[in-house]
Amino acid sequence: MKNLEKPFYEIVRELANLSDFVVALGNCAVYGNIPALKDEKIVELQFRFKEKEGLLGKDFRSKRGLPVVNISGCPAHPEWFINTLLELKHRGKVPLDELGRPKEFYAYFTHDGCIRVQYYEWKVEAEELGTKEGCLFYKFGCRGPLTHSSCNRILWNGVSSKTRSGQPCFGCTEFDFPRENLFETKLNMGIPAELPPEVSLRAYIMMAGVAKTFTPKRLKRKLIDEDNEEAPNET
Amino acid sequence: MRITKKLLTRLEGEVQLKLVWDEGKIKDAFVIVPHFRGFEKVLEGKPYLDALVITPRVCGICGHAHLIASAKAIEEVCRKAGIEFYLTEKAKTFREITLLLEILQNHVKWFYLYFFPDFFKYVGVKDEDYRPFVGKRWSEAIKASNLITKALATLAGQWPHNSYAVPGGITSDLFPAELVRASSLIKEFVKFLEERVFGISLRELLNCKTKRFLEHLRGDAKLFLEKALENGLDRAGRSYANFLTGGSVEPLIKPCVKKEKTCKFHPEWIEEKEDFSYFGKNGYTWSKAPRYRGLPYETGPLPRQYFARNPRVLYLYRNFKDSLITRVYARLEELAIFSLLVLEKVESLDLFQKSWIRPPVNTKELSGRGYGIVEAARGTLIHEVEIEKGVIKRYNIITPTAWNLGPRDEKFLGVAEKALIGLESEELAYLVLRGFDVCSVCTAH
Ligand code: SF4
Repeated sequence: MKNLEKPFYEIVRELANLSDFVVALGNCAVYGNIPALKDEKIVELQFRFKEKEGLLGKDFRSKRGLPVVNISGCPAHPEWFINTLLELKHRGKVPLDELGRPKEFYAYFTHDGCIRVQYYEWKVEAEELGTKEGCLFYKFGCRGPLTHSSCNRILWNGVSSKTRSGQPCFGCTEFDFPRENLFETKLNMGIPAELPPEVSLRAYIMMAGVAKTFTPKRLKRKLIDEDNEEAPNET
Repeated sequence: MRITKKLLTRLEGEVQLKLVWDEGKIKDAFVIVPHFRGFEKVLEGKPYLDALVITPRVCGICGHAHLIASAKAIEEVCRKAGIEFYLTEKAKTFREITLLLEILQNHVKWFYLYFFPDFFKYVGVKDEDYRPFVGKRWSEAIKASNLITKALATLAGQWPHNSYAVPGGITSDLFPAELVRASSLIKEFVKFLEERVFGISLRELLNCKTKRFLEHLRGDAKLFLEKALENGLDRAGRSYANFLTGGSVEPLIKPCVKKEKTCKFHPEWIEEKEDFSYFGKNGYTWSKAPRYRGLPYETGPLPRQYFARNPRVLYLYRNFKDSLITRVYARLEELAIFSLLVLEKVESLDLFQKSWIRPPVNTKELSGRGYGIVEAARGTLIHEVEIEKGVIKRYNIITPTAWNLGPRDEKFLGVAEKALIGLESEELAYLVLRGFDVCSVCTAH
């Protein structure tokens, strides 16, 4: 920050040392993120991308003994933020993952609670954007199964989420947001190059084989038939 | 000569105002945006569709306008490259609706959370109901703006920072019941406007074509107008009265510029001057100074309502020029006009049309240049993209706040700077600045 009497980061450092808890809100404060991509001078609180460093340093603990509590996301979800603050106030602690994020919100994946999850299970791809049907993992770059978030559990604005409205998850709670080619799945011999954590290629191929062979036909039909506006019920 | 400096908060980012005083009057004013993030640089070298995810992040309050501008810019590149594709009426109307909704949530927050507290202080009214954080009206305003963001999320997945508009259409595919929910949320918002902001029905207001609206108005709009007149705000905050609206709001507003008379708008005639930004040699802010044919222009609700021939705003403009009172009231009027417009658009939707039609384009081969121009809450937002073989070569963003809050050039002060000259009180200077709806993250992205 230019032109102010005291550099902004000095103010932050002073405040951090006086505070019971320090909470970083949003990907820029948590990991540096977009502004840090092309600017070495940008500082974040305790992680630079995934390396522990940043303005307060890797050993920083606030007065009540916690490292920086990271509410990642671009944007961070307001409910996860407020609930974390309340929990810190009332319980004085909160379980964190290795990136300093409250586990209650970041132990889940965007995928958990997505209304397209049956299509994922049975490997039914969305062929086009703008439809209710199909999973976006195979063509359109969805990062849902690889992104720690509660987006589909605690909805956005109380009503919806990206994947519910047909957008792929872009992985905006992770340190490597924004990755490149966000609307396209990188494939390796027809298989998504990145698989969900702790899923082996062998397991994936076996499950995909079974799923594709036995896909229930209903998953290939439209949810609502557009011509007669009636749900199809033939089997 | 005295110099004062103050940091303005309660807005998106921070802005510093440096005032030079002479014999009790402001002789010179500098609007300083101290932050810079470099979005245009980050976009260079990325596959062009990534712009749809990155540019909304420029701003937490008008990010949706950035999304639509990106989508339109890419679509123009496709069109110029001879790629034939079209958007369904449904996709077009959805985008118009969500853009308008973003403006609505912004204006209501701006009025009650940012403008009113400073206004009350200046005019010397103490009313517990309007007190920040604890006042009844303060929380009603937040609830009202949440109705709109909920409606927006129902249509576009989330707000802020969705990417539901993609070249060729939109990603969402709503059930009729979801649309009904969105529309009832908007109707509830209209109720708030009628009960609190205007004190009369919006139809009644829009039917007032003469100065009689001043007698009909009730509510906080009336409170504002009365107190503003009592306190001389009809004379404060005048700038060049050069107006620019580069985007359109169908069917009310078309792209126009006005100096002495109104003419068509050509984006190619914009130039961004850098001398007084940190990019140039005499820099004091991160914002550049956009000029249209060499001149500074104001953009936003006042120009829009001027071009839309809104009789109530025109009445104020004829009497009080581009003063604070006209600028603020024009913003309030948009709450009424745009909420009714949005409801009409929702009614007109045919959900069984396609949401997206894939543009027949090879994403690795696309090359060319295009503009995406939209009307955002604070005025005209312009994206210009240059793509080479599917990769962004150059990306330029000209925000509404750069027009209004950007610096001077060798000949002209910035629009807001000019509006501050001659004022006699520091409080009034902040209020005039607030009248432009300050957002620093957009001004310098
Ligand atoms: S769209 Fe994404 S989040 Fe939803 S089921 Fe498919 S992979 Fe999971």
